[in-house]
Amino acid sequence: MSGNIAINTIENCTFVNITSTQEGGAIYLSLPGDLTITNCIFSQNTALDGSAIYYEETNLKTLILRSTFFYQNVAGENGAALFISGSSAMIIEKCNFIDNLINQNVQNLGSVLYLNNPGNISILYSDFERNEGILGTCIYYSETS
Amino acid sequence: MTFNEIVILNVSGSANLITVTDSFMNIQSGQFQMVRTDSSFILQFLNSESILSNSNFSQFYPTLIYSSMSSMNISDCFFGFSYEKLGFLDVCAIYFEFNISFRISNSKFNSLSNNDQGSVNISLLLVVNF
Repeated sequence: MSGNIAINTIENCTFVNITSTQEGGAIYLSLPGDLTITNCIFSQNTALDGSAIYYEETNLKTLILRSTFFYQNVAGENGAALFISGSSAMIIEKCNFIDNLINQNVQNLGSVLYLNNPGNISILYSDFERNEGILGTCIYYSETS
Repeated sequence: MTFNEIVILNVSGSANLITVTDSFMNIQSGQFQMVRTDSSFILQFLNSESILSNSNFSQFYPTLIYSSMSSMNISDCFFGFSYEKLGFLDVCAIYFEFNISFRISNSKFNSLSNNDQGSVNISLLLVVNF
């Protein structure tokens, strides 16, 4: 059959103006396998946590974000662009995070990335501009449960 | 099984619209608009291999695509202007679970809302390579 798929991928896609009342505005992930997201745009999405992408702890092998644009995403609490809770490895490469915002409450953390007990993280050749929060304005990292 | 074109416009009902089981399905140039059901999803793929391309999914509820134990290739599709209305899965556009392999490319997700988690929900998976 012609539809065989070897690697889980999301590429050349746009996610715009998507709202969720809970976690993960555009994409909610809880998968114990590899995923690559390439050349995508996440813009003007809203959620409680992880307005563009919410990743919940399982046994993910590797999450790769490459050449992807996160713009004007808004979270009610944590991680306007990404909320990551546990993974074996995450690579962010050549991504842009611009004008992402979390609700201005001292208890809300990480206007771009909220990382809770993550695995190995690599952030390479990426740009962070005008992201607003109070604590951990761009990236908040915690090893607490 | 190959479908070259599916047009479903302004359809409502109380059952899942299409269920594909143990099959190969190719949907090209599908039009799914104004679909309303009180079931948990509109398209269901179980233990199947499917290709969805150049298709338009708009103004629908509840969850549009549910896929389990399947391989899916979604390309050049539009998902938009839809909302989840207290559906069983609480997800708006796509829900993947259990042994699924997928590729989503060249597609647009625009103006979607749901009552719980994510317009694309990929959860509880045991991912395998088909």
